[in-house]
Amino acid sequence: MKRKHIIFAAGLVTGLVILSGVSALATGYKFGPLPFSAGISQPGEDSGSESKIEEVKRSIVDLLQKNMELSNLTKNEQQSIGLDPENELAISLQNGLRSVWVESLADKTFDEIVTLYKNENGQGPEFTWDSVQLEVTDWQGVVVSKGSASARFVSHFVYTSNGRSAPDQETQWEVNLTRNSTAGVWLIASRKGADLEDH
Amino acid sequence: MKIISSAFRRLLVFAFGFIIACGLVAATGGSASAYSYDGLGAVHYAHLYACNGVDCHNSQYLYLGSDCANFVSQSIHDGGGLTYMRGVSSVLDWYYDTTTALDRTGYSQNVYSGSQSWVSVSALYDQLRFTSRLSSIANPTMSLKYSGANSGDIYMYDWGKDEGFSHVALATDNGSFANYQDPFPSPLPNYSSITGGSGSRMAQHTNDRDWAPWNYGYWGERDASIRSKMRTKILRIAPAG
Repeated sequence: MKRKHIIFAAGLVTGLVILSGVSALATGYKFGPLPFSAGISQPGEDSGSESKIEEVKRSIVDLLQKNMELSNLTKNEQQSIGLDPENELAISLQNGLRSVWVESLADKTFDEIVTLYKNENGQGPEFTWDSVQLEVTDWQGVVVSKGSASARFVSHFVYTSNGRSAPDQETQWEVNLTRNSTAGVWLIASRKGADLEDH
Repeated sequence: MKIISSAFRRLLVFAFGFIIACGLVAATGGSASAYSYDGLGAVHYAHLYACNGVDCHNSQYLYLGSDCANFVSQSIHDGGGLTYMRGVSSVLDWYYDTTTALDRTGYSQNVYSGSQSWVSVSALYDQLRFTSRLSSIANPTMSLKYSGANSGDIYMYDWGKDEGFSHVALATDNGSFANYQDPFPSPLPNYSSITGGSGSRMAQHTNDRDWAPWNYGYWGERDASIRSKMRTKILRIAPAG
């Protein structure tokens, strides 16, 4: 009696497995982990010496502020970079990006921005401000090793114009840094963000 | 002879289990019921339950924080007539459901227990693709005025932060954008100031909006290194299936 049950169950399971496979083949679906819409990650732990962690935190704030400042351009300035990626303004942008990102990524980002400005042709969004500050509201784990570091945090920018300040939306970031030993500075090697509110 | 008979009996029992499995799959809806997609019906639903500056969501559904895919799924199901699917593979399922559960304080509350594809942007996209409910995909340029979307199409957005596609909205129609400015985060542009004040309009949840420009997220992004990587896909649902 017991053996019959086992054989019956084996038939049942085999049927379900085969039908799942046939269904997957028919639809072209590849099995894998399910994706999620909001890429919000769980906070992690700090790792590394306290002084190094503080240094990395300061560097991240400086680097992201500097990166944002590079977008503080009028429509005419954006258009001129799009039209001539070798003019003075464009070279200044490229040098600025190289002080934020690792070199290969800086040049790739520069090319993407030039293409953007070329396509927008002076008709794209224009935001200018007197100053910008990155406010980190929650550090969620900073890991520092010899030549690299990674950090997860929630932050927003605050823009000030004509004495009035306004905050931007909150984003959770995961940033990887590489230490440039020659210059003795941290540079961004990758950046991934999930908005906590959608645009 | 007795050995053969015994083995044959076992085979019969095994086959019986196999047939029952087939029956179970069929009974639980291994294939979806037929549908005829009503894009204008989806738009009517979206206008009812997405409002600028006011929470007007359909109380029959839970509001799920990052609610964009939940809202689009509601629109194309309740308004558009796209039928639930409870397929063989969980990734092919597409349905809304809730169950009651106790929270930490012992209080009973409704929690979401439907399919992943109802609430997840990428899972919804996969579900539509793998079930042939998607008839075409367009890739508009985000900076431009655009009016090529049909009522009831789905806008799917990659916000350029290396997260992939993470937001969806429902394309409603073409026309003038609302004279409205999101109160937060500020200062963002008024809808009516974008691409001459008209073009394809969308309705969405999470930051609830209606009569809004399809590319509003692009026009609110200051960081050029992010804006340069933004992408949108327009998903068109097959008219019938």
